[in-house]
Formats: sequence, C-alpha cells, structure tokens
Amino acid sequence: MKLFYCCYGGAHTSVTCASIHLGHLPSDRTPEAYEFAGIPFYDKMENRKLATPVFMGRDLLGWDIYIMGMKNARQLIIPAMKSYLNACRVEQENFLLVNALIELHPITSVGGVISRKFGLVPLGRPLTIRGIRKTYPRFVALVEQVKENLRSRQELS
Amino acid sequence: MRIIYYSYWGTYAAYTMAALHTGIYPEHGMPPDKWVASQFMLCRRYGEQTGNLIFVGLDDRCREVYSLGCRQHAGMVIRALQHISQIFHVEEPISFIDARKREGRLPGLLQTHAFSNRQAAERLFAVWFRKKYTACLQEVQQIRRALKDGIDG
Repeated sequence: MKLFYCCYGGAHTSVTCASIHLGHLPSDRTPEAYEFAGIPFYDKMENRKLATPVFMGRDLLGWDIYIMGMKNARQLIIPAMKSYLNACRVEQENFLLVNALIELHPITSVGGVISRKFGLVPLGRPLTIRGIRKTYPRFVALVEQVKENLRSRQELS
Repeated sequence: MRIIYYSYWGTYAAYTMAALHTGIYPEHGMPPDKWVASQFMLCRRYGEQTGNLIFVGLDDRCREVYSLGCRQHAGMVIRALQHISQIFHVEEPISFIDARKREGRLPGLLQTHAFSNRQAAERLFAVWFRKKYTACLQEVQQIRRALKDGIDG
C-alpha cells in the first residue's frame, strides 16, 4: 500500500507532511528550525526530477510513504497515474494520493523560488523553514486527517 | 508490453496513430467518412480530458495500445508513469511514442474555438485528418517494425 503526498515542487510541503507522518517531525509542537536540517529530501528536489515519486519511509500501519512534486500539472498527472494503474489492474485501495498543497505562508513560496529556482539555498532554505513553521499546525491537521483515514480503511478491511 | 501514443491532445494525432497501429484504421486508403466523423465526436467529447489513458485496442502481437493527452507536460507524465510502474512492480514494459510532431496547430484551434460551430469544426477536422493520415501511417509502420516485443502470431 502506497501513499503519495503531492505538492508543487516536491521539496517543502510534501516533505514536511511525510516527515510528520513518519515521525521525523513532531506532531504535538512546532519544530525548531534546526530540526528541519535532519529531514531527508527537504529542499532538495531538482527540477529535472519533478514527477518522480521519492520514497520517504514506511509508517506504523505498513503504508509506504512517498513524496512527489507535480508543478502545475497535478490535474494531468493524477488522472494519468490512476488510469495507468487501473489499466495494470492495480486495486485502487492499494494507493492514495494526498494533496499536500495547503495554504502556505507567502514566505515559504518566496523561499522556495529563491532556493529551488535561483539556486540560492543559504538564503531560500531558512525562509521556507520560517514559513512552514508559521503554518505548521495546518500540516499536522492534514496528516492527522490522513492517518485517521488510513486507520478507518484498515478497520473496514 | 503496453504502447502509449501521446501528444498534446489525446484524441487527435495520438489516437489516429494508435488506431493505425491496432489496425482499426486501414493501411491502404483512407477510412470511411463516418469513422472520421466518429473520431471528431471523440475529440469533441473527450478532447479536454487530457491525462486519461484511452484504450484503443490490441495490436497483432497482443500488445495493449493506448492514446494519451499530456498537454505541455509530456516529460513529467512519462516520468511519473515509468516510476509508478516500478513502484507497483508492473512487469509489462511500457513504450511511449511521441505523436506531437504529427499533430500540428489545428487541433488546438478546434479545441479552443471551433466546437461552437459544429459543421465548420467537423469539416476542418476532416481536412486535418486527411492531411495528417499518410504521415501518421508511415510513422506507425516504422514504429511497428522497431517494436519487437509481444506475442508472435
């Protein structure tokens, strides 16, 4: 069973959600800026690798957690993935796509552009972290919702 | 093997080439007018639904042939499907065939402007179809020779 957190660049929001999901980041408090340094793939996705699912880990329920950046092609890539897996006779219950593009603090977007587009990582990365810390409870709420969904799926099956 | 013909729109050049590949459209001569009209209806109804794989049929080696509209994101869509294939351990290989250069500009105009006037749009589509058919056919013949995988009949 695979879960994909999807966002624009696959570098910040999806990575943060996946990290909360897997326990790399806390869900009971806002993490300190230095805690983001230890997260795998945070602010690392290269443009040429966009739409490549990256494995982040396996959660306690046995779901493989992936992150994926789709730029503005989300409404194209998601149906393509679903229809392809359908053609391959992969059961829909075996995968879940979660939109991790929650309303961001503008600082995150600015930092993301500076870091990923212009390559000024030392300047952009701290800004993305600052922005994510400001909206951190929204990430936690989304992940909790996803986990609840997974738990109820498991109970049903 | 799965063969996916892709272009900006999934119902124009990609579909025509996929239909030629599967033998739905004839290799000698043009298909009947009502078949062309049917493809026009397909464009009208499903042209905007890019991203959805359209199953066109099986070819002579029992390979599944699809058409797919990717708009301007073909690279990302292909990458996503190739990786998804690995993640879900899909053993059948996929072959992506670019139909973009056979599409031209008319499909874009039809999709965005001309469908409001159905008769004119249908005529324009028929013109486009006749103009592109031979080039699509030649390319499909080359592709079929190049793709070796499948079940020999």
